[in-house]
Amino acid sequence: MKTKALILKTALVAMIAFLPSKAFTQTRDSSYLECVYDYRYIRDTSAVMKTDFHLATGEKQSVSADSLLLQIGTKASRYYTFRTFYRDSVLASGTTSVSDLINNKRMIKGKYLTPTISGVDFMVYKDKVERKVITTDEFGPSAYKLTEDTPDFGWKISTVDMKEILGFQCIKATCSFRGRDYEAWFTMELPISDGPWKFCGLPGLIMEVYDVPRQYRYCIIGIRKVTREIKLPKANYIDVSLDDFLDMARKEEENIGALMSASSGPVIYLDSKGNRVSAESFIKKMKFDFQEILK
Amino acid sequence: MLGFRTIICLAILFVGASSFAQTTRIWGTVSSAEENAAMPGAVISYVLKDGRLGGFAISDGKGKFEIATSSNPMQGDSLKISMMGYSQVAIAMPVQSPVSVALRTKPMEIREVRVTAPKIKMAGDTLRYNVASFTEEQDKYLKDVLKRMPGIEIRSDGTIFYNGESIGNVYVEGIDVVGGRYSILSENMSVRDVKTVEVLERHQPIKALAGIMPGTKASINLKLREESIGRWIGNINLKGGTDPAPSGLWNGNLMLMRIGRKWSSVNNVKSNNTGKNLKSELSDRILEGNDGGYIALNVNEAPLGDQRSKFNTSAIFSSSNTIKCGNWEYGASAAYSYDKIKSANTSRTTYYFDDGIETVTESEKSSSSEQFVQAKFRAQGNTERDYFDNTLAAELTFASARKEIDGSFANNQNANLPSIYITDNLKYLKRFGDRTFRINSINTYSSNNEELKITRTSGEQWQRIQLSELSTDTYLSGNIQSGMYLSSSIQAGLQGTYRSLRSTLSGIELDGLSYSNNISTVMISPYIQLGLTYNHPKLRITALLPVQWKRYTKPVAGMLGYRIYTNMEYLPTAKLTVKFTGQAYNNGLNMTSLYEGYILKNYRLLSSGNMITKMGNTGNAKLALNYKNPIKMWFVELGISGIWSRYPYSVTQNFSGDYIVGGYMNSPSSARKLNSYFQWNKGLYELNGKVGVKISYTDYVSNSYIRNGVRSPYHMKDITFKPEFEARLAEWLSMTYTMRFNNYWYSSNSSNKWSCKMNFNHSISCNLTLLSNLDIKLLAQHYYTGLDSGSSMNTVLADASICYRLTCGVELSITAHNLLNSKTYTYSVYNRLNDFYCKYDIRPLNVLVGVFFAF
Repeated sequence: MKTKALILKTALVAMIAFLPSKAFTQTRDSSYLECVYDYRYIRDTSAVMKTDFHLATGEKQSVSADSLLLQIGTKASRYYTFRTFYRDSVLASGTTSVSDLINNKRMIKGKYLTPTISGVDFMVYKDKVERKVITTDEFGPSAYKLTEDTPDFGWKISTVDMKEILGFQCIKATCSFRGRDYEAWFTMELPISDGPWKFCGLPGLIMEVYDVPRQYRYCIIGIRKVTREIKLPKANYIDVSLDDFLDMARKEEENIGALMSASSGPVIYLDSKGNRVSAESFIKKMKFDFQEILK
Repeated sequence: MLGFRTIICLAILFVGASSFAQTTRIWGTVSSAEENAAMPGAVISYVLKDGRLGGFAISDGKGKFEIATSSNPMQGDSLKISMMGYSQVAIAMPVQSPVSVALRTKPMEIREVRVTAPKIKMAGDTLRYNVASFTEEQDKYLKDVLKRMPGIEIRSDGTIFYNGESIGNVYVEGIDVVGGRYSILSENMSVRDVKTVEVLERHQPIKALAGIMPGTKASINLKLREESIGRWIGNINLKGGTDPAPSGLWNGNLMLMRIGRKWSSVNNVKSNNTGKNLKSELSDRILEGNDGGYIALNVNEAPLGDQRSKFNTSAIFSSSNTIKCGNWEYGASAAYSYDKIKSANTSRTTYYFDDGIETVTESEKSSSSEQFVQAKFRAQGNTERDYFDNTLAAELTFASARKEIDGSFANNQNANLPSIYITDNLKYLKRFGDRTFRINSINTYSSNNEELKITRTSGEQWQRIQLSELSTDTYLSGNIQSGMYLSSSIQAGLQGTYRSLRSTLSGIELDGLSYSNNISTVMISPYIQLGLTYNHPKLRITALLPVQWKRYTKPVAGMLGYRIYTNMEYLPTAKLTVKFTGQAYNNGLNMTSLYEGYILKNYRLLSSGNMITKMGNTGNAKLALNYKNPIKMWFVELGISGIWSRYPYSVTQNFSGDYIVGGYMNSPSSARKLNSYFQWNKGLYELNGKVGVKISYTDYVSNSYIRNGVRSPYHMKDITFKPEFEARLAEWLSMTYTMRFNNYWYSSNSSNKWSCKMNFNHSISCNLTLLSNLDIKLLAQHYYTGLDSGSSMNTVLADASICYRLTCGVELSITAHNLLNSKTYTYSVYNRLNDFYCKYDIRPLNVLVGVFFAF
């Protein structure tokens, strides 16, 4: 019996061992600091944000807002949603499992919490050793992974502009990156060359950053010392280029049906009489540009 | 800290791009003094003597840095190396490159700023659909919008499929309001009351099994709009019209429901005479119904759709009520259906023999009616430690059928087929940590009291049958989770059946067997099933091994039964999935054929029972390869499957006068079926459409039949080709084209050559939106049927509808079916050793005017 169990286990290990390896092995690290950022962006560019980032014109629904977490370690950092953070925390507590979350809506703080289909959320992982930035997301039912060299933002540091954020003295820096001009505020009191999303490369932590038309904005709202593992979740990622990554994001925004059809096989669209019709009824026109605009 | 801040800020204020006129490079490495390891991410600042910042750099993965300063290093300038959690190091200039710096750890001093953790924004389950974004103006019922949701498909019998697999149940606000009869909701609930459709993948409805055993099926949960909760909501749909006969046509529906936190009620009254048998909307996806009796007076089904080929009057009433008390739900429901069908067709059946063929030509006028009553009571308690569910249901069916047949065997048939079915399904489950203990017990009683009278010129035949059956399937099971991925289960139980058959047959004179049966059989079967599940993200394996001992009292027999099942899913890359399913089992004795005399099933088929005590063995396997490239919008699947069966007996068919006598005899036989398929789908993103094709090939060989004492092996092959295309051709015009091409080949001992037959149909539909509140739909279908003699039949059908929506929520429509007023439809198929050709009357041109209102 023991021998049979060993054979089975060996066979399973062998099958998994022969799975194709990733392009490079991500550096694992532990955080020493966690920062919480308020992130908001305009989903309908008919709306305009004021300098205080409240709506000047447009509908309230035109602004999408969320809180995201930046875990900073010596060798790596990870920027992701609180939803994923909660899920990982629940799993790490050992009181439940992935299937528990999938199958029986787990109540946390009065809200239901379950993973996405592929178990992957939006995440930016910076590998400071390999100098790579990895972005993951789920479009339709599949998980995607974009791996880039750490971008050179070409920051220009201001000689005059300073302001205080959360009690830290911050200095202004500007850059142009993938179709947008940004203003960032960083503090040298925290000598960490990191920030929200893909932003990094300044001699201090980026506390606030926004594009000049104020369509995307990240602002720090919390800092705490926490030691927690930083790693990419194990998932069946499809590796994509930046062009394809943005193309998939656009398709999900505009036509999720087409994306599902391409991922899980033919999707049948019928009208109330049972006749096949096209899927255009739920196609949306995007009313905003992604943060990265490629020409 | 203040001093450091002041220095840094002053330094930065004096930094200017214009000051970096000359460039000097300073490079080196930063490491950890304690670990002597390279330190990536350290901030290296070059501070000039006057406090200005001369430049900065961040150390890379190997701890290396390089600063380009604007001026030559001078006495008083310094290089400062900083990193959170490490003491800052300052090096006086000038310094020779490379510079090597080792940082020492120190307690990190930082002002923490605590924030209240934000609420989770993304609530809900695996997949959520916002109904509003899928709804078109013309959508009335839930099914209209479900059909349009990606991955969801509703088949003609009302069963909902998600990604190709039937779903488990439909809930409203988490409550099982219709107890498995979810078609009542999908067919009749107004879409405007639904806010969100949640698809719960691998949904496990039993809370105590969470984390131990994932559910096997997806379920749907409907979230209602706030204003639709806790009040009576519903809709009325009335349609009336005529055909050239002239005869009146109607199609009406009233839905009334209330979903509340404490109690819910779903009520539906519906009737039509436009072809659809409404009983299908009452079909229960959880409880199994009566298997039925022996007498078979079915109305032939044309593969054209009920609404074109059936002439019926149908009505249903249903009421489902649920009360929720904490973790307990109590439900009571009642349902009634009535369906009367009239059908007319002419047919020709060719029977192949070893020494020739026999052709029977008939015309048939039939009418059948069925009344069905069901009552169901349910109690369910569902907590994280315990689960209890008991459902008690009783069904009464009063069916009758009449057939007038002219031709080779002219006769009139009258049948009365009443039946009773009572079932109780008890489930109890207790969880102890990662272990569970479960008791299930399904107990059923059924009774059929059938009577068939056949009148011919030669006389009358009577068949009377009394059949009753009592059965149980009771088992205990336990489940253990080992680590993250592995779980094992054991199940032990007892199956038992008592079956009593009494029948008398008069008016027939045939040699051989008795005309009456009086047999009572008991089957007792203890069994044990071992199960193993490995659920790794890249490899999923399920294996089940049940073993059972079956004991029969009449005929006296004992035998060992098994059913080995394995399923493996391997995902080597994100784009590729390999699936394998294999199964091997032996079939127990078929208790419905355990009798010794004759039973007359209809005017033509006479069944002789058998007491064969040997079992057949069957094995099947399927290997499928699935490749997807969502970026290019490609989806490809190809697969191959096979089923192999070996039986210790053969099926006999003896032609004796007006009758075909069917039975079994001790003589080994076998059958084999192979199938392969290829499916390709490509999204046409710019056209908002898609193009795809499916090709399948089937090869079937059997030598199971012995006809008139001669074994009659046969061989069938068929290939199916199904291309499809859909696109939005203009802002106001969308189009869909589908085609299905079938080619059949048939070979038997008698023909000794391949016969070939081709069927082909295609359909084009257009949707024109000329105004925002006006829709015009046009549909044209062409059916080509290849007939045996080399000739063919063509049928063309066309429909049109106009729908106009008033601003007050009332919708007016006019629909015309069969615009070309086609009268008949013909099809022809090979069926085992027969060739069947049939010509149906179809519903002529008819027009319906309708009004719909939701409240």
